[in-house]
Amino acid sequence: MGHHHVTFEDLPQGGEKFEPAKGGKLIGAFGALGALGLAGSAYFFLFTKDNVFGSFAYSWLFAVFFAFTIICGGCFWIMLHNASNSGWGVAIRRLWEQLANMILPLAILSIPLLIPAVQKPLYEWMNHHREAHHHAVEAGTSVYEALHHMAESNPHLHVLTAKYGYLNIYEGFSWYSRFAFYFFVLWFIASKLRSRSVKQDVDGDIKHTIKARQFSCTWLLFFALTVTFAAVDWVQTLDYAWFSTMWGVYIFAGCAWSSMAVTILLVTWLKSLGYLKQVVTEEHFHLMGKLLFAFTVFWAYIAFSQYFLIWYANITEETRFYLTRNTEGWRYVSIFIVVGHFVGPFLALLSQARKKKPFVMVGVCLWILFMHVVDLYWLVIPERGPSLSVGVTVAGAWIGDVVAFIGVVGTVGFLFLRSLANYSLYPCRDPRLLESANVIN
Amino acid sequence: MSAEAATHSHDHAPAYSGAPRILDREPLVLNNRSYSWITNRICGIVENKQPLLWWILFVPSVLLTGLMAFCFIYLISTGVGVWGQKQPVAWAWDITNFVFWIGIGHAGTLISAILFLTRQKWRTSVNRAAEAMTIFAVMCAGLFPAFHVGRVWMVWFLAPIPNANAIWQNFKSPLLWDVFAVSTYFSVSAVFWFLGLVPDLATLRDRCKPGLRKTMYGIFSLGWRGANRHWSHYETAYMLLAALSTPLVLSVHSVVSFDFATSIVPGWHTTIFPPYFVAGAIFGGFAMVLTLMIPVSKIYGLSDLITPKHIDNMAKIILLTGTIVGYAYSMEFFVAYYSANPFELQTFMLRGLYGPSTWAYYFMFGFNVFAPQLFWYRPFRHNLWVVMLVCMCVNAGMWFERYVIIATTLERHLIPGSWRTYEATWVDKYTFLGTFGFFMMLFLLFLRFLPVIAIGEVKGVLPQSNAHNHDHGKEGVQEEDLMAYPDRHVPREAAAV
Repeated sequence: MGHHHVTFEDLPQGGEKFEPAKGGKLIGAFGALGALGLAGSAYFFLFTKDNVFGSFAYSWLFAVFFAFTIICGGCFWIMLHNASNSGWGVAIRRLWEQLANMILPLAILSIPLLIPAVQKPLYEWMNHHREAHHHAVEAGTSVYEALHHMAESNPHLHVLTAKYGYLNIYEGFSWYSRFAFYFFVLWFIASKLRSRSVKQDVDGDIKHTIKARQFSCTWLLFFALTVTFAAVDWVQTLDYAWFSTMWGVYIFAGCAWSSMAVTILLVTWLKSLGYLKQVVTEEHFHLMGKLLFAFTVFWAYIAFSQYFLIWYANITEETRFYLTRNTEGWRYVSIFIVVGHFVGPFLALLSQARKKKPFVMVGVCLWILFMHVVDLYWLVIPERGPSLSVGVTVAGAWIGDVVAFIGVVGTVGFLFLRSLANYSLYPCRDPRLLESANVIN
Repeated sequence: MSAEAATHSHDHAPAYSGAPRILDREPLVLNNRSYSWITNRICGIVENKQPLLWWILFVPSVLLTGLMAFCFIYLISTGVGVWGQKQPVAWAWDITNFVFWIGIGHAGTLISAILFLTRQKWRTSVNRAAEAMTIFAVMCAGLFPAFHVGRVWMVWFLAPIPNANAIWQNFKSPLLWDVFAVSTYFSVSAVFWFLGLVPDLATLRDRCKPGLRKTMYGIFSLGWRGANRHWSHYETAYMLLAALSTPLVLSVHSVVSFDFATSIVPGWHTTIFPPYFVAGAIFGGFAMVLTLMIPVSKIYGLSDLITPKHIDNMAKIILLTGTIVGYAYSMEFFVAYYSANPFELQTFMLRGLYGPSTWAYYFMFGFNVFAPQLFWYRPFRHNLWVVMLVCMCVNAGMWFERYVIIATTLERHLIPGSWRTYEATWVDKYTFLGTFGFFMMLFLLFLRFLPVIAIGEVKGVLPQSNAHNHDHGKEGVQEEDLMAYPDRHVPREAAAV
C-alpha cells in the first residue's frame, strides 16, 4: 500500500486537540435540538395528563434506551479491543472512551424513569406491586402475601408472585437497586478505562496498556450481565409475562452494531475537519466496515434464531411478543426491519471497495442508525397502545416520540462532541499507536 | 525509521526519549528459525521413522476401531435395542455422542476460516491439525445417527433422492436440516483442508525419492510448482473458501441446537440455544485441539512453532467460551425461574438439585464453567500439565453437557407414569470408546502421511517475510520483559540455526 510509514516523529507531541469551534455547526445543531427537545419534554412531563403523559413515558423510555445501547456499544468496543490485545483500533479508541463516558449524563436523563407516575403507564407489574404494598400496609402483612391474596381474585397475577424474587420494587436487590447498579458498573468501567488511557498520554508508561487489558477482561463479564439485565428490567418487563433467554444477546447485538456506525460517522466527520489525518487511513475504514458487516450478520442470526424458535414451538406465552408486533401496521414495521436492518446493510457492506469509501459509508451508517432507531421503536412502542387501552397505536403520540428522541439524543450528542475537546483525539503515547496508524489488513 | 528520525527530530524531539515507546508483538516462531529449518522439521515427521510412542498409540487405536466395528455389526444384526434407549429416553448416548463429536469438529474450521478473516496470524501453527481433527470428528459424529436409524443400509433415505417407495423427507424437520448442515460442513471443511495442503504436498513430492509415495504426493499436489500465478489463485480460493465456511461454523451447531429447541420439551425449548451451542462447540473444539497438539508438539519437537503464546491464546479462548457457556447455563436457569413456567423450572430443578442424574449436571458445570477459570492466572496458562488437565475436564464436561440436555431431560417426562432413569448398556459404552480409537487412528495416520503444520503459511508469519521487518525491535519492548513475568520463555538473543 502506497501510504507513508508513520513514525512518532510525524505526529504532534501530545496528540491532536479538538477545537469545538471547528465543528461548531454540528455541535450547535445537536445543542439546539437537545434544548428544544428537553423543553418539549419538560412540557410533556409537567403539563400533560393521562394518555398523553402515559404515551410520552414510552417515548422517553425509547429515547433513553436508544442512547443507552449506543453508549454500551462504545464501552463494548473499548473492552473488546483491549481484551483481545488488538492494535488496529488504537487510533480511534479514545472516541469510544469518550462515548462510553456519556453514561453519566444519560444516568441523569434516565431519572424520570424512577418516578412512579412515569412508571405507571410503562410497567403494569409495578402497579400491582404498589397496590399490594398498599394492602400490605393496611393489613400488616408482607407485600408478597398481599400479592398472593390479590392473585386469588385475578389469576393473571400468579405469574407475578412466581417472579417475586426478581421482579419487585420493595425488597432485596429490587428493580431500583439494579437500576443504580447498571449505571454504576458502566460508569466504573468507562471512567476507569479512560483515566488509564489519559494517564498514558502524560506518562507514556506501557504498563497502562497491559493493565487496561487485564481490567477489560475482568469486567467483560460484568458488562455482559449489566447489558442483559438492564435490557430485561427496562424493556422486557414492559410485558411482565413474556421472556426469552436470547433477549440480552439481541440487545447486545444492536449495541455493538449501532455504535460502530456512530464511530464510522464520527471518524469521517473528524477527518473532514482535518483531524486524525495521519493516524486513521482507509484501512481503518475497511476494518470498521468489516466489523459493521460482522455485526449486521450477528444481529440477523440472533434475531432470526429468537423469532424462529418462538414461531416454530408456538407456545402462547412466548408468541405474544411477536403477535403484538405482527398486528395491523406493526406487521409492516416487522417486515421492514428484516429488509432494512439486515438485507440492505448486508448487501451494501459486502464490497471491499465500498467499505473503504468514507462517502459511501456515511450513507450506509446513517441508514444503519435509522434502522437501529426503528428496531428499538419496534421493541418498546408496540406495548404502548394496549397498555393505555387505546388500541394498537396511539394517535398523535409520534410527536412525543420525536420530542423525546431529539431531547435525549441532542443533549447526549452535544455533550459528547464537546467532550472530545477534553483530551487528545487519540491515545498519543499508546505503544501500539504506530501499529494502528500503519495497519494493513 | 532511524533515517527519518534524524531529519525530522528538530522541533518536536521526544521529551520522553529513552523509555521504550512501542510494545512489540510476540514472535510466532521462536529461536529465529529459518525457512529451511521449518521445512526440514515438518517434512521430517513424515519422512523419518515414527517414534515408538506413535506405534504404542496406533495399535490400541486400531484395536478400538475394531471394537467399534464389532459393536456396530452387533447392533445391525440384533437391533437398536442393544443400546440403552427405552421410552421415554429415546435419545441418549447416541445423540449425545453425535453432538459431542460435531462440537469438537468446530475448532478446525473456526481456526482456518474465522481466525483467517480476522487476521489472527498465530493460527498458522495449528490450523492444519485442527482442520484434520475437524474432519475426523465429523466422521465419528456421522456414525451415530446413521446407525440409530436401525437399518443402516437404508440411510440413503435421508437424502432427498426420488425412490420407488415415494417416500419423501419432511422438510419441516430440523433433523433433515441437520443432515444437510453436517454434510455441507463436512464437504466444505474437507475441500478447505485439501486446498491448504496442496503447496505442502508439492514440497513433500519434491523431497521424495521416486516411487509410490512420490506418485501419490504428485497426484494430490495437482501440479503445483509454486509459481506466482499458483499462489495468487491459491490465495483467492483460500479467501473465498474462508468466507464461505465462516457461516457454516455458525450454522452447523445452530441447526444441531434446532433439533432440540424447536420442540416444546421443557429444558430443550429456549431461544438462546443456537449461539449457546456454537460457543460450546468452539469451547470443546479448542480443548481437543490442545489435547492433541500439546503432545504432538512435545513428541515431534515442534515447540518453536507451537509456542507458549499459541497455547496461551487458545487457553484464553477456552476461558472466554467457557464463560459464555456459563452465561448460557445461568440464563437458562434464570429464565426457567423468571418465566414462571412450573414445568421449565421443574426440569432445571431436576437437573441441578434433586433429579436422578444431578451428578451429570455437576460434572457439566464444574468441568465447563469452573475448571477453565484457572486460566485467569497466567502461570496456569503456561503450565502444560494444568492446560492439559483443564482441557481433559472440558472434553469430559462437554460430553456431560449434551448428556444432561438430552438424557436427563427425557428421564422425567411430564407424567410420572413415564419416568425412567436411563442406563447405558455395554454396547453404548464400547461403541463410544471405539469412536475414540477411530478418531485417534485417523489422526495418527494424518501425522504419518501429511504435514502436521502448514509449512507455507508458517513461513509467511516469520519476521523475515515482512518487508517492514527492519522497523521492529529497535525501540520496542516485549511484554514479558516489561512485566518481568517469572515464567518468561522467549530467549530473545537465541542464536539462529
